[in-house]
Amino acid sequence: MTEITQLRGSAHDKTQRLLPWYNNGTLDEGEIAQVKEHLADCAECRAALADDAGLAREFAAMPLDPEHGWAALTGELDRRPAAKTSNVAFLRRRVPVAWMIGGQAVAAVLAVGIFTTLPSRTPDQTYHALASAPAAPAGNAVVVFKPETSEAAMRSALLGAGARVVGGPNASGAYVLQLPADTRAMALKQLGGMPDVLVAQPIGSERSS
Amino acid sequence: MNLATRSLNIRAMIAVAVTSERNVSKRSAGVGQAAREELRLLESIRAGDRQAFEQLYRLYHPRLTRFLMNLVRRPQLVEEVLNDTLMVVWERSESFNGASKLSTWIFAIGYRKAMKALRRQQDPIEDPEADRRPSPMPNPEQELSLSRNHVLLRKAMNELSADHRAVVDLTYFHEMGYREIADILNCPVDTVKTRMFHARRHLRKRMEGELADWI
Repeated sequence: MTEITQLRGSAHDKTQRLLPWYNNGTLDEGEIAQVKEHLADCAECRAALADDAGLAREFAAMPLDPEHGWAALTGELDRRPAAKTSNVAFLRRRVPVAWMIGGQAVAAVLAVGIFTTLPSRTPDQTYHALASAPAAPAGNAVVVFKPETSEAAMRSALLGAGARVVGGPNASGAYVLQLPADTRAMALKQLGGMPDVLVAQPIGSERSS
Repeated sequence: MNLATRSLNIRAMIAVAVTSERNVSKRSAGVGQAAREELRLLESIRAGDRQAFEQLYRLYHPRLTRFLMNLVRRPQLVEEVLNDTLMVVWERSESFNGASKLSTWIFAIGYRKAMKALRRQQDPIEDPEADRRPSPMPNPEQELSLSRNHVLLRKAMNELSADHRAVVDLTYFHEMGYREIADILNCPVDTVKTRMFHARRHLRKRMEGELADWI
């Protein structure tokens, strides 16, 4: 474009220069008001505005296919060294939600496994030294809450189930509970159905209930 | 006032009314949501998530192809520049500092890559395969499949410089504001307005007699 056009500072020229962006809705409020005011009195600018709308519509039609380009770029990605992840700090990495939930569930199951397979911490002791601490009461259930669960929510859930915390939390966040024997099954079902609870299951024999 | 002029004026007034309506509703909440989703994808890309990169690639492919097609006008070159552009996004995502919209940043990379490719094309390098390679311009058969308006518009666009084509495309197709376009092209806003003014005048001149049918 070698043609030189002198743009004057009149309202008409200013409007002419702003019309494409008035058309595509990107002007600020002051500019819109300025254009509207001039359009009301200027047939030439109204016609130019209509031309712009037509041009913009014609530009909008071009079918494209990304498949070929993506296939080419994938080949290029495979050829380049996979240095991308190495410079990302471990804690900054995004973990997909499914893996987070799955990981928590696995941790919870392991925690429950530890509680249920460890030898009893309350053997039948026939002798107590005076300084011996009283044996902790045995629990009859284990519960694991999601890490983000608030203390208030946990307290409410445990109270609602009639549970008393007798152990934990351990490193995996598992609590040992003492539930009333006659309502244990129902309380565990209630706890297990709560969105904040990852695991709720019985431990020990029926006798310990 | 003759019938044709009156008819044109009525159409112009309808266009004004429609435009006013668009101005109110156009920049809706959906735009912000899409921008947030793109930023979320960029975060995942920074962590090396190739699926997120593919999603971003597919989001930007139509827009960038369109933009680059108007700039470099050779399908083979478009694909090369487009992939070069998105490879920068993949490899240098940390350099996006959030000072502009993500789309502005990506388009600016695309523009620089395209201009570099054009400069390379203009260098006189002997190409023994040139005669056997298909022409980048549409053949008569291809042109027949386009509407008359598209053919005229394409020819008129081809007569503009790459910088003018970029402004026209970013305004009409990508619906960007002149400030954002100035950021992408790294030039003053007045330059954008002036380029657009000249480009529109050229297009209108070339499309004379056809424009009325579009409106």
